[in-house]
Amino acid sequence: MQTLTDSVHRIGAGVRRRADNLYGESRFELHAHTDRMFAGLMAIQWIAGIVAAVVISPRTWSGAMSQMHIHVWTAVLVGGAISSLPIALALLRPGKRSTRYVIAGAQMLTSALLIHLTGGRIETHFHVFGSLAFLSFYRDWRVLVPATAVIALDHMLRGMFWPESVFGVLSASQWRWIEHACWVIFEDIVLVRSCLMGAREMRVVAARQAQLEASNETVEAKVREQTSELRASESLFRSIAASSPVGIFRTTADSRRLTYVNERCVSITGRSRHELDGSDLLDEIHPDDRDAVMRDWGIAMDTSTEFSRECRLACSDGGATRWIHLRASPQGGDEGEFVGTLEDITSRKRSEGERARLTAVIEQVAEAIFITDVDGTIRYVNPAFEKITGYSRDDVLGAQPRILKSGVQDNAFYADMWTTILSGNNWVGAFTNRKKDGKLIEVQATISPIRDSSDRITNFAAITRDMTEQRALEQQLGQSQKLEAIGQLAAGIAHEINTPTQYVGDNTRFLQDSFEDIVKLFGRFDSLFGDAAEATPSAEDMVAMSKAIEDADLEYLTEEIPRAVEQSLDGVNRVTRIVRAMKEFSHPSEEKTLVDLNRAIDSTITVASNEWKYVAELETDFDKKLETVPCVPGDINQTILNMIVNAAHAIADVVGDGGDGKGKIKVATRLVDEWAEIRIADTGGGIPEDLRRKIFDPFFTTKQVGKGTGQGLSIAHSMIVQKHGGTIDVRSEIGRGTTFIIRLPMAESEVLTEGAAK
Amino acid sequence: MTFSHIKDEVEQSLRSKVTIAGRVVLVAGFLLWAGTVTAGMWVVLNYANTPGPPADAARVWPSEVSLERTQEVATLVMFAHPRCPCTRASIGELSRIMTREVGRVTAHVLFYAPGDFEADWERTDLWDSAAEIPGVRVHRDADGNLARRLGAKTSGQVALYDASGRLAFQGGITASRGHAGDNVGSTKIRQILDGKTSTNSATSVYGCPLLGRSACGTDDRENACKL
Repeated sequence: MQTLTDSVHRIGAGVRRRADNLYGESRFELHAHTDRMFAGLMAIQWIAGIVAAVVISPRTWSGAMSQMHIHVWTAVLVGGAISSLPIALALLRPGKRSTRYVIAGAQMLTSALLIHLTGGRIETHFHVFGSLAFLSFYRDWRVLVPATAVIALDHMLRGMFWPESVFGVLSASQWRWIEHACWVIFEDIVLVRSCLMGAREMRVVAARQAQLEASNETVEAKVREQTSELRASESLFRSIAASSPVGIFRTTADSRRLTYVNERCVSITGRSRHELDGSDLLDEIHPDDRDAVMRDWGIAMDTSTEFSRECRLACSDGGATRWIHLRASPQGGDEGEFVGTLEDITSRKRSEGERARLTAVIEQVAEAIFITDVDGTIRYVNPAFEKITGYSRDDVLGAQPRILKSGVQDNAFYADMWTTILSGNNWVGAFTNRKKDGKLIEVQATISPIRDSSDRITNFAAITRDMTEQRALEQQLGQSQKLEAIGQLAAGIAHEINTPTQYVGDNTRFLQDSFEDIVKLFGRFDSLFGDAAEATPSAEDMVAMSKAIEDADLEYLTEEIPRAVEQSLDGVNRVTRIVRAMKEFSHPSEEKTLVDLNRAIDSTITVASNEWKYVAELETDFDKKLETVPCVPGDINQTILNMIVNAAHAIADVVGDGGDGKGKIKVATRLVDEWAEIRIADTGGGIPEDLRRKIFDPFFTTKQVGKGTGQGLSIAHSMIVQKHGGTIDVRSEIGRGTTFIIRLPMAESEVLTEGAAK
Repeated sequence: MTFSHIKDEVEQSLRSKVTIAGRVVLVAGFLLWAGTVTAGMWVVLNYANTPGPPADAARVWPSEVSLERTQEVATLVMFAHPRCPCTRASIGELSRIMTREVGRVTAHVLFYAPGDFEADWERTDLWDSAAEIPGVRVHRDADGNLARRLGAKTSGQVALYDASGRLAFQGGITASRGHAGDNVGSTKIRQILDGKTSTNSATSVYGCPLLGRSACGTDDRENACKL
């Protein structure tokens, strides 16, 4: 309330100030106007005085002589002098107080002059009163003061110096001029009142004008404010419309003629604004969708409801169909306009299609996929998950993945897995799960953290593949590989066995022949001894005996038979060693056990000797501390065999059939920290850099068809890395050879040792 | 104190000096103007209020004058220059006297007429005005002979003789040069004609020198003759 009162006071004070200003301006304008009017009047009076002088008293006479009358000079000079200053001030300083005071005095002087020039005609005295009335045009009573003063002074001075000229008597009262002045003052009283009333009226008019202006200002301010708000609102709308990601348009209701489109409409439709203005909205719709759009539009128009439809645009984006979501609402009024939006939903449509395809893929892939929260709660499983695990979707949604734990992997295994994925890394590995029916399944899993737009982990997605059958196939494949290797080695092994077998056979046949000779000799000795019992052997008997010994070549037999036996035993031993090596090589065990790694390698070298001995010298350097390495012997044998055969092939590629010198294969073992390290180095041609990354890929080979399947290193890698948790590294230098470094963890040796002890 | 402050102070000082100078010029101009106007007005008024030589009419109606004098009433003789603007006021005053004093006075107005001037030179509007006044007869005073004889020197000079032919009044009947209105001369004449006084009185005469420089030569007041 106080504020309102202050406001009213402020407005009142402002109006008063404005009224004062207007009053001052009006007074100044009036004064300036009256000044100019008097300037003209002065000039006219001057001219009139001259004319009067010329007409009334052009010349003065002295007898028969005449000359220009002094009145003419007076009219020109004195009249000019009287008029000059007020005219100058009126023109140079209009509106100034001093100007109108001078004008007032000069006007009275002009009256005196005119009276004089007209011979004191009583009619001319009205000029005085007329002049006073004129002076009242200033509406400033103060102007009358100098005018009255001049008149009074004139009468006073003339009464003093030329009383007869004023009062008609030579000795009039010295106060008689006051009587004359009083008549002027009488008129002054009337004029002063008139001036005061006029000024008051001007003040009232100024106050009204100020009030009117204040009212107008208030109205104009309101109009300006509303106009400003309207412009701001319009500007805001235009800014919003211009920057809107959604097209905005306005159309007529019935004909759908576009009467407004924003920039986004232009960019979405690909048409220019000029083309869109006045065109039918339906022209922008794909021909196949127009009927549906027209139908819905008609319903919206008839029922005054909102129109909304997703449809395709007539134009395409590089051949791809563009989708829009068209919405429009009736705006009412006689014009029947629709204002609507046009949203480009092509990306959304594409996303929906992609999402549908992705969903179909996820739903239909053979791999089990499930998604969990960061705390592990399962939020999604695909049908493959249900099929593989036997759990339905309802069984596992909201549950924890631990329901699948088989117990095969220890807690450290899972802790390591969680640490990996919680740190934002993918975890890839194999483990054993337990199905709903209690059966165990081998799975190969990839668990990935899923991040949101702020790079925060929100979910984990696990893709698991049932590896049970693959594992069986791998075992079969491994066995097949072994059989293949044995098959490939069979000829060589047969050759290795055939040699000792041949000379064992030869020696055996020699022994057989020798035995027959010795039997014959023993038969002669037996008959000789029988004869000698009956009679003393004769010389002939002795000769015959000697001849029989000679025939039997007993000395030779005595010398050769031991050697034949020794050679045969050696051959048998060689065969035995090969057979044992083959037996060890083809060890059927699939369980890890403590293996004398050096012996296993040595057996494999033996089995494969026919592969390398023609092209290379093989050197071994075994570490005696590696007699108990935890591993699957069959897998290690297979791996070492593949390495040695590859080394022999690589050397053969360099040395040919070995006629010009052999290469060298060095097999060494070392215990390095907690690892059993096997180095197989050859002096082959080396592996090019670009092939090193591929050598462990399945079915990759650089060998001729029939010489290699491409499975050897792949299986070796699978056995060492995945099955044993070891590593395989390869170092190669073109032209100098290749070294494969196999490392097997020794960590399980103690466990296996304790198990074996129990 | 920045440059702009110094500049503002200098400009304000200059404006102040200009204002003071303007006022000085204005006041000086006003004083000059007032002085000029006062001086001019003084000259004009002084001219208007400077009388001609005093009248010196014959004390008794001169018998040799051909003018008719009525025995029953007073006779007024006015000497006028037919082209003197100042005399128009005197003719006017005469008209008022004659109108007021009908039957108590007869009047003659003698218009000076130089002998070598064209005929009817004296018949001006003043002649006509005087002729139209009831009881007034106008006459041509060739070369101012009558004026000289009756001692008239200034246009507008009046001499009033009573019925017995004695001079009752002489002088002017205007308050100043060409100034109509109440004046001492007219008042005296009316009083004499009304019988309120018989004193021989005289007033100053305001008008043109009647007879010119030659007549003025006899006058002590050379200034009047110069006008």
